Amino acid sequence: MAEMITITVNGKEVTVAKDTPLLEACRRARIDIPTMCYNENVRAYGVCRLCIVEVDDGWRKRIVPSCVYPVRKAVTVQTETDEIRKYRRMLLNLQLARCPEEPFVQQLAAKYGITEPDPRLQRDNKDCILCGLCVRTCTDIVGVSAIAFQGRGAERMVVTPFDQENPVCIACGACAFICPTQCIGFQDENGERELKRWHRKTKMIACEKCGDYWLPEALREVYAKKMGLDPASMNVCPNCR
Amino acid sequence: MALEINKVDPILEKYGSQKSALIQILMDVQAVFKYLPREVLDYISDKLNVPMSTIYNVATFYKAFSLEPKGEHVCSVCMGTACHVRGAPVILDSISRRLDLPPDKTSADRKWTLETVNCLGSCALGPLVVVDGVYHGKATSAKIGKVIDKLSKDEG
Amino acid sequence: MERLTSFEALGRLRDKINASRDPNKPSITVCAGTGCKGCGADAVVAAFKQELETKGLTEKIEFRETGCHGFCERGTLVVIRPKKIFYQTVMPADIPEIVEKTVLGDEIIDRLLYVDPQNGQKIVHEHDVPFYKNQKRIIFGNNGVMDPTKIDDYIALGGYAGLAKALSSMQPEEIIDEVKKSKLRGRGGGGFPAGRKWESCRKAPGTQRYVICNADEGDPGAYMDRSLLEGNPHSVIEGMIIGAYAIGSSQGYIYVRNEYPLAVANARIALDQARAYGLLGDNIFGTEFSFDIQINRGGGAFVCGESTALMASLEGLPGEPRAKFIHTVEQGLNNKPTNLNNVETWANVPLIIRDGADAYLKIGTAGSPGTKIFSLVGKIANTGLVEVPMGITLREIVYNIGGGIPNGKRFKAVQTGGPSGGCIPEKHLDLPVDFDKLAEVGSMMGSGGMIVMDENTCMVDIAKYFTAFLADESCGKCTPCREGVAQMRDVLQKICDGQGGPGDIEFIEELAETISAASLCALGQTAANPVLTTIRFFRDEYKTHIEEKRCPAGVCKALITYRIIEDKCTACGACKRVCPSAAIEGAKKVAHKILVDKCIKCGACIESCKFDAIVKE
Repeated sequence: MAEMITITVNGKEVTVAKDTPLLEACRRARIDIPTMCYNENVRAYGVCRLCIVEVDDGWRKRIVPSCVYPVRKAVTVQTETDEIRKYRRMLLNLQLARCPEEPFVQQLAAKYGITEPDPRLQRDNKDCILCGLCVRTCTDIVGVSAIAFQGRGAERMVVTPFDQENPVCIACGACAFICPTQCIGFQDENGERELKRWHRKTKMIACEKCGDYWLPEALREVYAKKMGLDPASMNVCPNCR
Repeated sequence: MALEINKVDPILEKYGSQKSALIQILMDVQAVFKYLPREVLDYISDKLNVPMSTIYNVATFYKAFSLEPKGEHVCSVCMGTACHVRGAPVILDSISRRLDLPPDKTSADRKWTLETVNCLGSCALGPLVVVDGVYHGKATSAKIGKVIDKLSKDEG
Repeated sequence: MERLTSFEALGRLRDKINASRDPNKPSITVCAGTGCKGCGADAVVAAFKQELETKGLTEKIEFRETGCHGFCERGTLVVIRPKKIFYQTVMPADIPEIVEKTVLGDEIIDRLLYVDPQNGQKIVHEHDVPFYKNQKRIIFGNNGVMDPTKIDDYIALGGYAGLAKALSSMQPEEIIDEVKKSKLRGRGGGGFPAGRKWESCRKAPGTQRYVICNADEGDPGAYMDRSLLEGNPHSVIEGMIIGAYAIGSSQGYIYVRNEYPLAVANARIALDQARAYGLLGDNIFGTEFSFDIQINRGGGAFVCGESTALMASLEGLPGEPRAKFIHTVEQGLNNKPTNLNNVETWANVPLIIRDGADAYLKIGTAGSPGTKIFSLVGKIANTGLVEVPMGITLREIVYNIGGGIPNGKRFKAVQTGGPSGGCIPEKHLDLPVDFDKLAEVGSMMGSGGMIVMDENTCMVDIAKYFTAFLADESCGKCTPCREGVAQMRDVLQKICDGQGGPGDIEFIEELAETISAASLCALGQTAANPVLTTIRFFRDEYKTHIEEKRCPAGVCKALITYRIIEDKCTACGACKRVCPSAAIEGAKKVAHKILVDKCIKCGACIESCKFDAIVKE
C-alpha cells in the first residue's frame, strides 16, 4: 500500500500517494495550472516551465515545475503568487516571440493579459513550441522513434534523420494528434497518406469489400500484431468485417 | 569509391557493441572516415539496435561530430575567455576574410575548414590558433595569414 | 611489474624505488604539459635526450618529462637538480650549454634565469620565484617532479599510501567521517561538502553504485583539471579508489573533455599501470575489494559539465539535463546511486586520508579549508596555474603571484566562476577568496578560472561574450534558457552596436529574473550572473554605450574609430600595405591617414605599426 502524503495547495488540503507529480495533485484539488508541454497520457518532460509553482518544504521556499516535482513531503504550495505570474508572463512572452502566429500560444498568453508580442523581444515565426510531445509519443507509446530532436540551443528542432523520409515511420498520425499547436498535419488523399512535415508518403490499403482507403500500408504489420490477427485480414476494413 | 564499412566492425567490437558507448564509437568512426558518413550511421543503427533518430540526435548535439567531410586543412581559433580578452575575435575576423569562409564552415572546394573552439586550455599562449594540429600561440592576424598562405600555396 | 598483494608490499616497493634513486644525482626535469608543448617543449625534450646520448650521459644524469609546472607564461620550463636551478623560456639551442655548464658544471646561465620585473633581480631557484613563493602547492606541487607516465615516480613520493591506510585500517564509514571532518568542499564550482555527498550515496538503497570523476572542465579560461589529469593522474585515481571503497562502488568513470587528448592518454597509461600493480581492478591489495575505472570522452558540449547531462552522455545520449528533485546520489547513472566529484576534489582525498583531516583543516579558512588551484589568465604578467590556501586575497593573487597588469595598464576587474560567475572590480580586491565570500559579491568560486581584465577590456563586451557562449552551449530543452539567454545576448549585441536605447538595462534585468528562477539546470539558472555583475559594478560603462554611443575601452567595433596620430607617423607605409580595404592613404614622407568610411576595423594596421602611431578611440 503506497505511503499517502497530505499537502496544502493554495490553502486547500489534498492527499496523494508518495511520488505523485505535484501537478496531478493540484488538479485533483481542482486547481488549474497552465501547461504547454504536458499531456497526461505522455511522460512528463518539464520544459515549458509554465507549470512552475512555489513550494515550501518547511526548510526553504523554491520555484519548481509541478509536472515533474514528486510529492515526497507535506509541503505547502502556492500556484498563483505575483512572482509566479511574473515569470509565467515572461515565459509566455518568450514563446509568443518565437511563435507569434500560433493560436495555441496566443490563447494561453491572452489568459495572462498578453495581447500581442512584446516589442522588446526579437521575433521569429516558428510553428513548433518544442514541447517534445510528438517525440515522446513516437518513442514511448508508438515505439518506433521515427522523429527526435536535432542540434541544441536555438537550432533545436524536431526532425526525421537528415530531415528525410524515415522508413520506420508507420504513418500512424499519433504525433499529429498529440501536437498542441497542430503544426504536424497529415492528409489522406488518392490512396496515399502524407505527413508533409516528415516528408513521409505511404500507400493506403483499399478495402476489398467497400473500396474505401482505410489504413496506411506501413501500419499493416503493426496493427495485425497488436490485434493478434493475420496481416492479410487487414485487406478488409472494420466496417465490412 | 566504396565506403569501407568493414572498418566499423573492429570499433563496435572494441566497445562490446554497447548502446551506452555510442558517443565513443562515433568518435572513433569519425577518426577513421574524417566525418560521419550517413551509410556508416545506418550500419551502426542496425548493429547496435539504436534508432537512427537517436544517432542523428547525438551526431548533431555534440560539437565534436561532423556530418560533412572536413577540409584538407583545419584552422581552429580558440574563443576562450582569456583568448577573447587578448583579441581573438579580431583574428578570427581576419582569417575568415582571408579564407572567404564564415566560421564553422568548410569551403566549397573542401580545402579549408574554419572552426571556433570554446577553450583549448592553453591560456598562456592566447590568442591561440591551431592549424592542422600545430599550435600557434600569441597569434596575430599577420602571423596566421602567413601560415595559411603557405599551406594554400603548397597545394599547387 | 608485480601485483602488490599486501599493504606491506607497497612500503617495500617504495623503499626499493627510493633506494635505487640517488637524491644527489644530477637530474633534469622538463615541463611537457600542453602549454609548454605549445611553446616547443617537445623539441627541448628531444634536444636533451640527444645531447645526453651523444655525450654518453644517460646513466649519469636523470632525465624526466613532467606534467604542467604551472608557470605557463614562461614555458618551456626546465629545472636542474639537486640545486633546483630554474630556467625559463628554454629553446633547443640552449641545451648543449645547459648540459655542459649547469648539469655537469656549477655554472648558471644568466640569460635563462627568471627576472623579477619589480626589481630587476635574477632569481636562481624555483622556490624563490615570486610566482611560486606565494603559493601553497600541496596538490599541484608534485607535477614538477614526476613523470605522469611512470607510476613508480608517484609511489616514490608516497603515492597510494593513503589507499593502503584506508583499506588496511579504516572502515568505509570511518573514511566518510574523516572526509566530513575535513570539510572538503567540491572544487568543481558547487562547493558542496564531499563527505555528505559520499554518505548520502552510501546510504541510498540499491546494490550497484557508481563513482564519477567530472573532468569536463568547460569553463573557457580554466585548465586546472587538464593539468592535474595530465601531470598527476594517479592522485585522482587514488582518490577515486578510496571514495569507491567508502561508498561501496565497484565501477567508476572518468569523463574527460574531447579537447584534452593528452589528459586522456596519460590517464589511460596511469590506469593500466595501477592495474598492473593490483591497485585497481580485482582484489585491490589482495583484499576482497574490487573496483575499476573506465575513461569516457565527452563529445564537445559545455552543458555536459552538469552532472545529470554528464550522466546522460555516459549513457550514450545527448547531454540534456533533467530535474534533480531526486538527487543523483539516489538515482544517477543508469538510475542508480552515483557519486560525482570534480578532478581536484578527488585529488584532495589521498592527502586527507594519509595525513588526516586535522592537518588539512590547518590550511585555508573555517568555511573553506584546504587550497584551490586557479588558472590565472588574461591581462596578467604571470599567466599560469596557481595553488593557494583559501582565504588569500584577490589582491595577493593578482599582484604578488600574478605580477600585476602588463604594459603599464590599470586593473579593471577579475572574472571568477566562468560563465556562471561574475566580475569583481578593484574595490573588492581585498576580498578573501573562499566559496562564501565570492558568492557575497554576486560571483562564485566556480571551477577556478580567474580572468584578469584591464582598462582596455570592455565590460559590456565581456557580458556579451559570456551570454553568447551560453546561448551557444544551451542544450535548448527549456524555454527560459533557450529563448531567454538568446534574447539577452541580442540586447547586449544591440548595445555594443550602438543601437542601445533607454530601458535596455531594465529589460535585461527583467529577463534575467525569469531565466534565473525558471530554468531547468544550473547553466540557465546562473546564465545571468556575468551580465548582472557587470551591470552592478560597471553600470556607467553600459550607460556610455547606450547614451553616448561610445566604448571607453576601445573594443566595440561599431563604436570606435581607428586614427593615425600625425606626429608619430613616419610614413613607412607598413599599415597601408596590410590594409585589406585600401582605407589608408598617404604618400612618401607624408603622415598617413585612415579613411573612416572604408575602414573595417580589422586591426591589421595597429599590428603592423612599429611606432604606436595608430589608436582606437
